[in-house]
Amino acid sequence: MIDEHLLDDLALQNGLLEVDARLKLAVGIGAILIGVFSPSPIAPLAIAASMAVLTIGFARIPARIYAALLAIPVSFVFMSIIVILFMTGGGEPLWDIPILGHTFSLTTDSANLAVLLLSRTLGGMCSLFFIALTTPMVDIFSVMNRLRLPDEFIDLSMLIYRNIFVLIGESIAIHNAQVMRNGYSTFRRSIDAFAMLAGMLFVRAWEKGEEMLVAMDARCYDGKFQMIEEERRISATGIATATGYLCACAGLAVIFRSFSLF
Amino acid sequence: MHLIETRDLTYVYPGGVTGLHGVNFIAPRNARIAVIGANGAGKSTLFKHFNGIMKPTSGQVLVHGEPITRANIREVRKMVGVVFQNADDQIFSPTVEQDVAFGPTNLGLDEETVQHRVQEALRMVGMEDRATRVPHHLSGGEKKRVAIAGIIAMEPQVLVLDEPTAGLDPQGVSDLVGFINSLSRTYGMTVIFSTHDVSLVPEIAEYIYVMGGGKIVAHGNMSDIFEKDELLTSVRLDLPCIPKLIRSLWEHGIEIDMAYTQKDAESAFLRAFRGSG
Repeated sequence: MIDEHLLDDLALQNGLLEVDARLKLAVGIGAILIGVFSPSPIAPLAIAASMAVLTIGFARIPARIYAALLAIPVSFVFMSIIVILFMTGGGEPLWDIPILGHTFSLTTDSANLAVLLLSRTLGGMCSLFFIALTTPMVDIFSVMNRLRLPDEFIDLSMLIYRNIFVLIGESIAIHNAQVMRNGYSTFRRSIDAFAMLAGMLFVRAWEKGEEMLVAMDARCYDGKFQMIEEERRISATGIATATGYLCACAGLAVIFRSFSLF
Repeated sequence: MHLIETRDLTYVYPGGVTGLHGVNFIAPRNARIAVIGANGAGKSTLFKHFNGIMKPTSGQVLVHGEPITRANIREVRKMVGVVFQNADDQIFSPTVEQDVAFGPTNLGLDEETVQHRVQEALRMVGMEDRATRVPHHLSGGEKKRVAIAGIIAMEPQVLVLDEPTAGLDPQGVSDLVGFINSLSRTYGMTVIFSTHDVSLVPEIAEYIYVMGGGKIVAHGNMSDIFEKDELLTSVRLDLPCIPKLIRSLWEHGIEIDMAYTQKDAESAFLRAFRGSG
């Protein structure tokens, strides 16, 4: 179900492709900031929910793929939550667990912190996935160009973007060649094979880099990349909708600033 | 004065292996030249000398009669456009049109001219409807076309293609033959290409260099090179299908004119079987 171009393919075919990249970036980054600065879990949860609706409903990203993507950060955050629940203190004890003669207490403050962490992670990741799944990298480069970011930075990003796919292709080719010859049949062999893959990939990356330099020189490389972009104006409704959305999120964060679950 | 000329060009790899040995090569204006040779014959090494990517160990490479120096290398690369074998290594921009624009932009042309050249180059290779695609969504043949468009957009006087048909499907090969011939006829571009697919040679070239073991073992026009098998088999090549067939018909006593391209063969066969007239 998931192949190496998946995220890029989805972004290039999503239902919000025609919406100006600047608007999508503003909404996504704005929502991340509001979520991170919100003292209560309400605003980040609302952001997570609305971003999920935008991404699945409007951008038409398949829900199964979205859930699979979200499972990655969620599994990480659950591991951190367990640590936070038992390692931080303050407030009233909610639950005392005796383990080997010691008592581990789960307190209201630690529970609130855990919920806040979960909601901020969800809000942030949903906003990030909204950007990643609705805005192709090529559009982001042109926004970077408009923002007058240094050329060196943009050129380097473009080369990295292109070469990510070249290297993924190489690693898949090497991996396939190894699998075909039983490279991963036992644990020991898979460690050997993986080490070989990593080593080969380094060498190939180096070679590809040199070949690319030759190809660039052959076309008179002079430190310039061309940015092709048509002049686009953001529609007034677009700006109004984005501003309205961000204001609503900020409003939720302010209104529920002292709300806590426990 | 010739567009490209090499005089006693010798190249020894840093490891001590000789890549080229005393190569004398001449590319006149408007020529269509095939360099044929088996794997490892030195074709790619020779081509990398044409635009100064490799520097001769001894001997000279002259472009418009001038040796390639640090001072004129940009001019040389503007005149001599080289399309390398592996298209993947040549496409490094996020979109097709950005990649084709790379060369013209670096020539310092203004944005409008660059745009115009990009459109024109993509139209020539039949990729104008795929300008905004990302390169990793292209097929092998499409990547090849983009790589060629990237060079055409710089409007070089010489188009050098290293194994242009490697990895292309039959339709891709005939498309390629079509637009290389039109570049040569319409724009007067000089074309130099390497291949070990001998049947491709008569479709594009009018002059042939045969390489083997880092040397030029023979050069001449179609009838000189395809006259006898020994020359080609000695460098691990073979006669193209059509002259080979006609030669074996001769051995059976059938009178037929020699032909090299499919079109010429067709009329030769018609003449032979229907009688001239």
